[in-house]
Amino acid sequence: MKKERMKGHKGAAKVHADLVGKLVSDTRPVRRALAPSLQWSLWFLLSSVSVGSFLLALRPQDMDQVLCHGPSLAFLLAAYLGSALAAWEAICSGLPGRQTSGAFRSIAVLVLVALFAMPFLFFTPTSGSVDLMECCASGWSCIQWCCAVGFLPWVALGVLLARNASLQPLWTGAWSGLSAFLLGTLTVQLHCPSWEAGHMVAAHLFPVALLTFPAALAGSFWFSRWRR
Amino acid sequence: MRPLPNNLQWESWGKLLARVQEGDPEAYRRFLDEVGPILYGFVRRRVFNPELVPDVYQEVLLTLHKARHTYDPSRPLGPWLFTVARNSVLDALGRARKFAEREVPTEKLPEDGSVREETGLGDELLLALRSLPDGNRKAVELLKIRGLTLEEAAKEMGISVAALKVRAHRGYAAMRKALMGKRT
Repeated sequence: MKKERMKGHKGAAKVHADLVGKLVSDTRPVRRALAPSLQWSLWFLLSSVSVGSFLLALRPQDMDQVLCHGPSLAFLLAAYLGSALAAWEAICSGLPGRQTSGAFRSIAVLVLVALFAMPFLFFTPTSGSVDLMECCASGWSCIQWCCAVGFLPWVALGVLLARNASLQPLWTGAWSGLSAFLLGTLTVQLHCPSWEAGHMVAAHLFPVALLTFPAALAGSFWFSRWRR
Repeated sequence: MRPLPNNLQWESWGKLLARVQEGDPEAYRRFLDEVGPILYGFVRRRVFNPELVPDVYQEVLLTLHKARHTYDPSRPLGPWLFTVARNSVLDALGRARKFAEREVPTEKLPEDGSVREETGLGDELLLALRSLPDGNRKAVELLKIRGLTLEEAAKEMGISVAALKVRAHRGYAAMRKALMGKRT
């Protein structure tokens, strides 16, 4: 080797030789991490099955009407796109050298901001102000459904991402939580008859924002296991 | 100045790493020997304290080892290698900074006994230590007062490292309980 390059640096060559000896003795075949597109597709399939099952169980009443209404459709598409982008971000953040660009992250953040702004732009009641606390209390069942629907995709994504080597586990956790619980929002929004801004924010979007924090904390533990 | 590696070299190192993923120790040795000096230079340019460089370099190689399964042989090696290296350097520097913040220079330490007088903790600690069963007390003394390593302490006590850890842990727990009891 070019050990001579390390000459003049006290102990460097020795540190290198000792460590190489140890690492080489620990050489065993490893299972390669799956390509990000494959991981994403797998997650998409699993989460689609989960969301589909919940939708069948919840039996949305007026889906046709919802899908024909422009702002409603835009909200659902933004939720879906936000979830898909967040999942891609979570997957790529666990594969060194595959991190997404700043432009990609900006688009993802823009979509999420647009999603959170939509209820105020398109669904504000003409009658007057919105009491978020009251909406939270009245939308308790929607909050529970958001958590329940998002839980399985979150676990599925967690299992998939645990095979990667995230260098920023906190962020990986946050993106994974965001992605999974946005699917919860999407499902519940398809089922829930209320398209009123206060209810949408407090009972459908607020749980996503809230659950992203514990998901990030759990991620900082779970996605750093590969280092231990 | 060392010439930068050319594309062919990167390609051959990528192939070596692919063989490493299949469990080839010789390829691994070659890979580390050839890439090592580049990484060492990378670390040296980012770590200004020369005493820290070998430790950080070691950290980088260990992280590479643990993350080797994430390298995709169909993609260039450079971005993967330097992403892992850059993050390991940042982590190691962050840890070193935290350690330095907590460290108290010896010249700032008060004279022997003054801490005891101020906090009254010295006597309490001593009493808590004395109240431990013999095995647990000896484990704590060897590790925390005499500063022996786990292996050395286990050898001196004639027990396994695992058994020593258990005894020391029980000792710490009992001392903590005794001290907390006195404080409340």
